[in-house]
Amino acid sequence: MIEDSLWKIFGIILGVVLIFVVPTVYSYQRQDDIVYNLIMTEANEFSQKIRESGKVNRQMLDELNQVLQASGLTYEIELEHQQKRFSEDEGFMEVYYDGVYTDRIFEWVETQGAYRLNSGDFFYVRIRNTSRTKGQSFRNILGIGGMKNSEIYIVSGGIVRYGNG
Amino acid sequence: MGMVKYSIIGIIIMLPFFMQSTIQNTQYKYKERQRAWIEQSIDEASYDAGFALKTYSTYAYDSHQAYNIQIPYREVIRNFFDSLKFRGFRFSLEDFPLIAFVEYDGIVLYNPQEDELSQKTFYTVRNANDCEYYTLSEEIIVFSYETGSYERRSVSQDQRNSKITQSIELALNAYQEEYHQEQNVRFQLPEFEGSSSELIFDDVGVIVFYDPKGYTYLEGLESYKIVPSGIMKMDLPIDL
Repeated sequence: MIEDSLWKIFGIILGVVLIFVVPTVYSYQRQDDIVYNLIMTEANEFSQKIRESGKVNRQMLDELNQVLQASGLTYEIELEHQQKRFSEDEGFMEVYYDGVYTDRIFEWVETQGAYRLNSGDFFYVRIRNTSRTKGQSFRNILGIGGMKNSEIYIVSGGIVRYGNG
Repeated sequence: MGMVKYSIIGIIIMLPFFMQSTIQNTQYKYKERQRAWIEQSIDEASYDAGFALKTYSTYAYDSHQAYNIQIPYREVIRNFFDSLKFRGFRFSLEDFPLIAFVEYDGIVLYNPQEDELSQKTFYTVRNANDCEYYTLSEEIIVFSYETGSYERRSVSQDQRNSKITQSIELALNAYQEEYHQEQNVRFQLPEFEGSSSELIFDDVGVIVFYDPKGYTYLEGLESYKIVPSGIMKMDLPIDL
């Protein structure tokens, strides 16, 4: 009699897992993938726009933020501008790069308007999620799937094609 | 009760297979993301190198007309590797066995591991009585051994493509024999989709060959990257 009850309880638990938990995990995973693709597309578009126009302005940053907010997660955005410089060493011209990073770029846009880049510089944007995705949270509750700090980590950028230089 | 019991046992037996398939799918997803990251990084770096080639070359504005185009090899190579470095892409020089410059009248090969640029291999076909010099234009120069004179002739696009491809493949094979004979590496040229197996070289450019050993679990992958013409075109609508 007790054995029958235990089998029934076990059957119910198994049924709940298979009917509710598994589809939810899959659906959250799918949602995470969609968000990942969305952020990747947006990051690529953002960096491309900057590299093709040679400037970062408020409108571009706002557009990026809007898309990121719409995904329902919080993110850390890093901007990196590597300015091309030349040094002369015993008659030889050497190329080196000066890095300007997120805080200075944001500050410049806030106080002085568009931040300009030169043709031949490098520009990169890095985006990583700081809040957990639904999939991460659910897996965390269940205690399954090795936890990654950032499910979403996107790097996009390259050479600046148009600018003052 | 027996039904419930046997159903549960059946499900429990199936569970490991189900788990295995889920884990494999997840692993595959992350590997695919990694592959996309590698592809995108090298793609972007190749385009950056192509941009440097077109921007910093002398008379490079319209390469079809620029017969005496001077490609700044070192600048192009530096831009390629800088682009990867700033992106945070971890690589070693062994990952890039060859960078080839497709020029107007020949091909120059760069060996990243030896930091060595080859002499230019011209697009030539040696016949018994003359030698044909092909270029990316629709004109060839024929040098006669007997008379020592040059003659300009026009040539069809198909013939030009096949001769240039042949010259490039010969140069690549020679490079393979010289530097990578022991390794099982082949420097094959890309086949463009939608144009049967015809290769179309109609502009100067840079071809970066890389070793895709990181994701060889996938089949049908290319082991090269090519920057085709038209990279200077700004096709992104920009709201300034």
